[in-house]
Amino acid sequence: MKITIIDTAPGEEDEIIVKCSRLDEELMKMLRQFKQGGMCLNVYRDGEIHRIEPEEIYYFESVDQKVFACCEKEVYETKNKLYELEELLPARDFVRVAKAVILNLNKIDSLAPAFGGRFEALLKNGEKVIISRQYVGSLKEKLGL
Amino acid sequence: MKNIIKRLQTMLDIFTRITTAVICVTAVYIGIFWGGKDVLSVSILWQILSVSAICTLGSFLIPCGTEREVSKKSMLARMLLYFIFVNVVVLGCGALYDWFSFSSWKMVLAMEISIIAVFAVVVGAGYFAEYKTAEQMNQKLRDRG
Repeated sequence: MKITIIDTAPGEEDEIIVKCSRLDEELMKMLRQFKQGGMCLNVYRDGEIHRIEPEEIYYFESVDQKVFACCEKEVYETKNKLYELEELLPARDFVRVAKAVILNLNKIDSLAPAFGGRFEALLKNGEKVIISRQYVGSLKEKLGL
Repeated sequence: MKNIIKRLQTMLDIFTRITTAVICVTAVYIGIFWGGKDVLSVSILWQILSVSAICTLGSFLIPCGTEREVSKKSMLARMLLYFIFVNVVVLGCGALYDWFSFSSWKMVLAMEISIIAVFAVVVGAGYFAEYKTAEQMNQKLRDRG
């Protein structure tokens, strides 16, 4: 892909123009990242927009069609769907651990077996998140087991 | 296909655990009730293998791999059903193979204790395997820093 940077005239607004024959998945991903403003996510709480870095987030949870970003103490709402977040977030750090949960591996304090092939992640803020049996395989894969 | 392979692996694993535990329990049971009989028919081996195989079929009640997730309550109910199934199979086959007589309460009690012991060992071995997996994942998490 060719990248061209053109100087703007004094006072002219910075602009990104995408020239392509069609918007493929890779381009869409890049555009989403631009919209999110690099590695920061736009999240909402009490009618205010906040920008937080993914590393501050412990896990994302989808409840009643809404997606929440849970940090150490605060909970924000995000407009992204979980499948979009899976693409946006650093793949090394975030992993889907249940149908409705994406977990930050760096925030796990320890893992323990739970009933019925599931595992329980104790997070560094004391919260517990259940890792669904269906996603244990992908977690093991992510950890290199 | 992946699910079928996982299911077959799980069943083979359970069959091995059941057979091992049944052989141990049988050695004790025969020693107590048939101590004077120092020659056993080869048919006892086929009887043990057939009972273990039938008991293994009951493991279909317990979901594994990426099969549909069930609630904790449903999982407990399935475990209870599995235990009842094992009881019916072992007591039914045991009576058929003349391992014991329903007229001797001591033998029936010993059979029931044996069933509980084998069930506990098989479930315990499964939990231990999950515990080991959790430990391996914890180690990998620690290695990530």
